[in-house]
Amino acid sequence: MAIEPELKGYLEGIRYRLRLNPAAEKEIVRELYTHIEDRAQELKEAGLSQAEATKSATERFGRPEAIATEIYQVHSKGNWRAALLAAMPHLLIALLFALYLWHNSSWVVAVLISMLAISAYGWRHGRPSWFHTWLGYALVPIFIATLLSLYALGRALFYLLAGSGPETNLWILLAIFAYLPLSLWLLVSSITGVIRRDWLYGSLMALPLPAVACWLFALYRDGSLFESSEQYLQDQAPWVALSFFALAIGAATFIRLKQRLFKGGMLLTAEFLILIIVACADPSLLSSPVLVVAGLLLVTFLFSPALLEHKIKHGERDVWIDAGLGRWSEGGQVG
Amino acid sequence: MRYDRELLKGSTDSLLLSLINRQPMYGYQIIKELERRSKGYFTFREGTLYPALHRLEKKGLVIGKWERLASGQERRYYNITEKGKHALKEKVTEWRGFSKAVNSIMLPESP
Repeated sequence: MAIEPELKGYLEGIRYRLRLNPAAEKEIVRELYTHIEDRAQELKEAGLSQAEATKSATERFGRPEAIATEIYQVHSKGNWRAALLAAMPHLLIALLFALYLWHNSSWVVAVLISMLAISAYGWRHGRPSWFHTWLGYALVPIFIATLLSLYALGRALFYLLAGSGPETNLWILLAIFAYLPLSLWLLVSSITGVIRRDWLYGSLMALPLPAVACWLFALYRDGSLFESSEQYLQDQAPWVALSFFALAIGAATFIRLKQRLFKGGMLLTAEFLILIIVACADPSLLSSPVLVVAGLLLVTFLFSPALLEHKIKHGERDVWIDAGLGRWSEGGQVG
Repeated sequence: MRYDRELLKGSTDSLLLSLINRQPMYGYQIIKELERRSKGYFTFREGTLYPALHRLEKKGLVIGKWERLASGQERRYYNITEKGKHALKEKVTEWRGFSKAVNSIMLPESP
């Protein structure tokens, strides 16, 4: 039996707001669908037409927004284990600086590999809420390598057009051509995959980027981005550790909160804490106009995934319903 | 008869556990059973049943499982767990004490 467009729209209205992992969303919407199906059947047997029965059944069921919000709040609050796991990558970075291990390449590589491995594990195991903080860090080296590849490519192109400059190694160019599509695909599919589920996870994932940007800005202002950055970081290591510790607390609290408003507020608080910590570390660094601009940029950056989510989710409705509801209405199982 | 919905809200978990304790049930069946046993007194907004059921499941008091009906359709049945039985026992004791105390004040002439 075909599902009526009104019922499809109603269930999609719930699914859109659930913001859980896709498997959980399907399971929940399928359960709600069976309830409405039973009620509509009963009303039809009482003499109502198919359309009237469905309309009445959905009205009795309640507003999609309210139902989805209540279900979201049941599932959105993670346990303490999930909170600790979400805080862990920030704590690892904090420890690298607190114990002055950040210039020891073995430790840095070990942390990096653990982040990549745990992100891959989380992606393959239902993308639990805690995995987003690991994914954020795992994407940073890929992102930086992509930027460097683009820079090298641009430079080679410039020399080629100018007809002068150092000769470019063909093998390096070939490696860049092989790497760029792969890295761009990985970055875009990871980011859109996360934001498609819930833009708040996109913001959680991006949480360390403003911290990294703040400290890079600090190094740049010092005029020592490449010259004496080691000494600067050595001096500021306790503050850097403190800033990542603040992120760890922010991420753990985010996982433990139920309501979206508070979750968003927590991310914002963590980012402003970073600004305050950087300002305390080097008071001359952040004059008040810079502080205001940095604050505005942080807010824009943190909530930009919300705009992307709307764009990404738009137009997905029919594909999702055909893949799920269509099969359930025929009594089939959802894999 | 009208009643304050907050009163029902506070007792939802106990009511659901009591019903599921008698036999495994799916959502629509629970709604019908609540209406039948309360003789139409309790009328849930049906969609709000599921957050309550999922909350119980998250606490480990019930467990949901898809089962096939004779008609070939599938429904998600909720079964009570040992932890749920224990919680229900406590809730029943709590309710007995609470209702007795409220009755003794609000209905002092009742036996």
